[in-house]
Amino acid sequence: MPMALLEADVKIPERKKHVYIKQPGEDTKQYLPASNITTIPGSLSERGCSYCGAKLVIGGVLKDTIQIIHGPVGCSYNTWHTKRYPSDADNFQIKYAWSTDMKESNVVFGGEARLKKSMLEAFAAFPDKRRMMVYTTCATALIGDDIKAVAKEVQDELGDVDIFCVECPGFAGVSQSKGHHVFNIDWVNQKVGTVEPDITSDFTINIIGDYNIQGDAYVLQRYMDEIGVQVIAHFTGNGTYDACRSMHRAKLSITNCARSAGYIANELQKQYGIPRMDVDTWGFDYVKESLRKIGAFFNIEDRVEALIEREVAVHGPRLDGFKAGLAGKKVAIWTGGPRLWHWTKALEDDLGMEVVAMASKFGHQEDFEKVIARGRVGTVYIDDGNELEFFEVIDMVKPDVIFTGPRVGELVKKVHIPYINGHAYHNGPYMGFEGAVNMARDMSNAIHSNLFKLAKRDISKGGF
Amino acid sequence: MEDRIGLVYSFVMERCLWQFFSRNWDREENIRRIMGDVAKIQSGQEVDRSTNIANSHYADAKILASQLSQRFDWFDGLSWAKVNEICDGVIEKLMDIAVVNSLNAERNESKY
Amino acid sequence: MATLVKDKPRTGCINPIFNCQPCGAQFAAIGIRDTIALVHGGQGCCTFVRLMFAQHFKENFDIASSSLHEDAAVFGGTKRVIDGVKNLVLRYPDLKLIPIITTCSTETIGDDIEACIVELDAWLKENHPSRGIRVIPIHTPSYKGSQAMGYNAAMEQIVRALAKRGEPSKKVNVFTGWVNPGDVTELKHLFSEMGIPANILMDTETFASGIMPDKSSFAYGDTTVSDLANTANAFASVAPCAYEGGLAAKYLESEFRVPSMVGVTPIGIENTDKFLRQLSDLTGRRIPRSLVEERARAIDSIVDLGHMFLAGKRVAIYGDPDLVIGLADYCIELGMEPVLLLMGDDLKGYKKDTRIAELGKKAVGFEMEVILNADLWELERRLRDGMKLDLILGHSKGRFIAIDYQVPMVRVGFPVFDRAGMWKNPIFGYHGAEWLAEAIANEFFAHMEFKKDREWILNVW
Repeated sequence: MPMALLEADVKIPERKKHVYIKQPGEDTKQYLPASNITTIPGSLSERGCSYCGAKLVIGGVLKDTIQIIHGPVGCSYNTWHTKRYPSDADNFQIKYAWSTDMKESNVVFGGEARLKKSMLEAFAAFPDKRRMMVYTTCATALIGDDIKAVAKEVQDELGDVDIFCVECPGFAGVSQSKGHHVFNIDWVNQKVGTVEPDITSDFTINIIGDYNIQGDAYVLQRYMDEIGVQVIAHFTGNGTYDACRSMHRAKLSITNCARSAGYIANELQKQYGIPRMDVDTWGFDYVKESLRKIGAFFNIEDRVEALIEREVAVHGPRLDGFKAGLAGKKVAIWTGGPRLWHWTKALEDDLGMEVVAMASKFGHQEDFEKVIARGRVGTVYIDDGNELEFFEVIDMVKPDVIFTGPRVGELVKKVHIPYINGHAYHNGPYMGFEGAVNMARDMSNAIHSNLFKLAKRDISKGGF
Repeated sequence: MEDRIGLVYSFVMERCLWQFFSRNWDREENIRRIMGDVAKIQSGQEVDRSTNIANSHYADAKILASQLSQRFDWFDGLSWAKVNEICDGVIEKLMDIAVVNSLNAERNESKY
Repeated sequence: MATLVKDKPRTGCINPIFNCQPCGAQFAAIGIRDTIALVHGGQGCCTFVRLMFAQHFKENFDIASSSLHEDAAVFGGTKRVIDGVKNLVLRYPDLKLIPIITTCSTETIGDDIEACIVELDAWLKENHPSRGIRVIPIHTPSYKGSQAMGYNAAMEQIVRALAKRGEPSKKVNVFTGWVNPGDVTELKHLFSEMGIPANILMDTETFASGIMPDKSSFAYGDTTVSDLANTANAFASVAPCAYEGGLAAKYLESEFRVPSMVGVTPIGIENTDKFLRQLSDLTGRRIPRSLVEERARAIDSIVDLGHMFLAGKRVAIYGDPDLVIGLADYCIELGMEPVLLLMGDDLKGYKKDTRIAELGKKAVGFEMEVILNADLWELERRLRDGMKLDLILGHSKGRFIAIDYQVPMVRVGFPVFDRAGMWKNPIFGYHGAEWLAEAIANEFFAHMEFKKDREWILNVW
C-alpha cells in the first residue's frame, strides 16, 4: 500500500493520492504523490496564497525596491516581519511595507487613483529609492484595476523610476507556487535585458533561487569572489532590481531553489542561451560538488580546489564534532518543497541521520520525483500536509527533530519534539560549508536539549 | 553489466538533479548530453564545449565522471565500448523514469 | 496646550499599524472553546494570521481556510464553504462552533454565506443531530476599518448569532476587548475581588499551555458557546474597550435590555478607580479593602519612579484605539508627555470620542498630536525630521523605528514577537499600572547603561 490513506484522512479520502510511503523496489514510475492541485477546503492546510509567493518569497527580498501592495491593508501587513532575509542595504527590504490601504469606496468605484497617489507618495517618502514593484491582490484583481496603466503613468511622470507590475492575486493558484511562476515569467519577459551590467570578469554567473535567508547569499558571494567569478545577479537574495534586469549577460545560471526560480533559469536558457545548472548549495558534501561544477565550467578548477581545501580544513572538523550526537537520529522535514530534496541526502550522507518523513506545501510532481529518488525506503512523503496528518505521522515515525515553520513548531513542542525553523533557520546561514555546520549544531542543540528530557518527567509519579 | 548500469543509475538518481528538469525536452537533452559526455571524458575523447549550454553539460559530466571513478573502483579501467555501454544503459533507464514513463504530467506542458 | 487631531496627510499606507478586519474576527474566534473558524478567502488570509498569533503567543491556534482558488473567484465560492465546514465537522469530533469569516474577495464576489449556513444546518440536522454544532456568519470585508474593527464586528456578530433568552443570571458580561491573557487574568481578579460573577468574553487565559508529560496540553480559548448564549441573560455588560467589544455590549442592551458600561478602560490608577467605581455603581457592590491595599502597593512602587525617572519624558503611542487612549491618560498621570498618538484606522468615531478631547485638556505644558488613519511612517518621518522622543509604546511592528532612531521602546498590545512572554503581563488594573511603570523604567535603565548616559545615577537608587 504505497499510497497511504492515513487514519486522519478517512473522511477526506481524496488525500490518499497525496501521501506516499516508499517501499523497497519502488520508484516514481509507479507512484508519485499528487501535488500542486486544489487544496481541500477546511483541511487545515499549511499553504499560503499566490500573492505571497510573488511578494514575500521573491520580489520582497530585493534590497532597493519599494514593494507596494494594491489592496486592503492586510495583504501588506501579513507579508511584513515574517522572513529572515537581511541585506547589506541597511535591511530596507524588511523594514518597510507599503499598501494602498484600499477602502470600500475603491471597491465600488475603482482603486486606480488611489494606487497612483500611493505610488507617488512612496517615491516621495524614499527619494533615494527609484525602483518599485506593484502587486495586485484578490480585491483589486476582482474589480479589474489596471495597475500596468497606472505604473506607466507614474513612470512617465517621474522619469527616473522603473516599475514592475505583478498581477497575481491570492486566489490565482492553489498555493504560493503560482506566485513564483508569474513573477519569474513576467520578470524575464519584461525586465531582463533592459539594463547592461559592467562586466569585470570573464567568468559571469547568475545565482538563482537563493533568498539570503540569514545571510546564505553572503556565503555564496564570498565563494564567488574568492574564485574570481562575477555574480551578475542574485535572484533575489541581497539582490538589486537593476542587477536582475541584467541577467541576460551571464554565461551560466546556477539554480538552487528550482521550484521558486527554475522558470527564470529555463527562460534564460531558452531566450539567451544561458545554461541552467542545478546545484545544491546546502549540505557539506554537496557544496563541494556544486563549486566543482562551476570550476569545471569556467576552467578554474585550481581556484575551486584551493577554496574547498581551506573551507574543509576549517569547517570539516567542526562538522565531525557533531556527527556522533546526530548519527541515527530521525528527522522530519516539513517545508515548502525543494528543501526536502536538497536536505534529505545531505543529512544522511554528511551526518548519518535518517529522514523519516517529508511534507511539501507547494512542491510540484517534479519535486516529488527528486525527493523520492533521493529519499529513503519507509519514509513518508506528503503533499500539502495538514495538522491531523502531522500528528499521525509523528506517531508513526517518531522523529527526534522537525524542520518546519514556527507555528507548527509550537505545536510539535507539545508532543516533546523540538523544531528548527526550516524556512528561516534558527541560527544560520545554513548554506555553504559553514552553513552545514550551523545546521548540524542547531540540530544537536535541539535534540540534546535537557528541557525536553525534563518535560517528559511526571513529578506526581515520583521515581526521579 | 546490468549491475554496473544499476549502480551508476542509482548514483545519478540520488545525486544529480538534471534528469528532473522541468520539461521533457530539457530532461532528454540533459540525460543524453551529460551521460554522453561522461562516456567521452572517461575514454579521453574530446567533448563539445563550443556553447555555454554544451559547456554546462560538460561541467556536469566532468564532476559526475570523477565521482563515479572515486566511488566505483572498476569505473576507471573500462574500455570505450564498455563505458559507452554503461552510459547508454543509464541513459535508457533515466529516459524511462524521467521522460517516457514519468507520472509527472507537467513535464509535457509546452511552456515553462 | 492644544491637542491637534488630524488625518494622516497621505492616501497610501507605509508600515501599517493594523492588519485587516478578518484578522480581528479570527482573534475573536480562537477565544471560543471547541471552535475552528473557516476563513472564506485566499489561503494567505488565514495562514499569515495564524503565523502572527503564533509569533505573539508562541502557541498554535487552529483556523481553517476555504482555500479560494481561481475557479471560485469566477463562479463563486460557496461550494468551498460547504465542503470546508463538512470537512471540519467530519474530522474534528469535538467541534461545537464554526464561524465563517468572510474577506475582501468573498465579499466582493458576493458569496451568500447565510444560504450556505441554511444548507449546512440541514445537513448537520440530518447527519449529526447529536453534535449540536453551530455554524455562524461573520462578515468582515477586509477593505473596511481594521483588525480592531474586525474584532468589534465579530464579537457583535457572534453574540447576535448565539445569544439566547433564558433564565436571568447574576453574571456580568465582560467583553474584554483585544487584550492579552494577562489582562484577562487581571479583569477576572478585579471582578473576583469585587464579588461580581463574570462571564468573560473571550476567556484567553488558557492560551498559556504547557508541555505536559503526557503531551496532553494545547493552547485553546475557554469561552463556551453556552457562555455566549447566556450573554442575553446577564445582569449587565462591561466593555472596557469601546472599539473592541462595545458593539456586542450595545447589541445586548438594545435587544435583551442588558445594561452596558462601555469604554472605561482600566489602564492606569485613575482609570482603574473609575472602572471600579462604575462597577460598584452598576452592581451595588462596594470596593473592598483588598483593592485599596493593592492600589496602595501599586502607587507605592510607581512613586519611586514617577517624578525621578518618568516625569517630562516624551512618548509616542500606537496600537489598538482604547489602548492608545488609556496609555496616553496613564502617561499623563505619571507626569510623562504623550506627544504623539497614532490611531491606526479611519474609524469615524475617534473624532467624537470624548476621551480624546479630555486628554487634550490634561495635556498641560506640551502639545499632543493625534493622527487618525495613521501608519508608522507618521512616527518615523517625525523622528527623521528631528522630533525628540524618549519612549515609544507600541507593538513590535514599530521595532525598527526604535532600533534605528535609538528610542527606548516598551512593547504593548498586539503583536509582540520580539520580546519574550509579554502577553502574560497585564496592562489593566493596578497590577498593570505597576508592571507597566516598572517596565518603562527598566527600559530606560537598560538604555542609559547601553548608551552610557548618566548610568551612574542608578548607583545609589
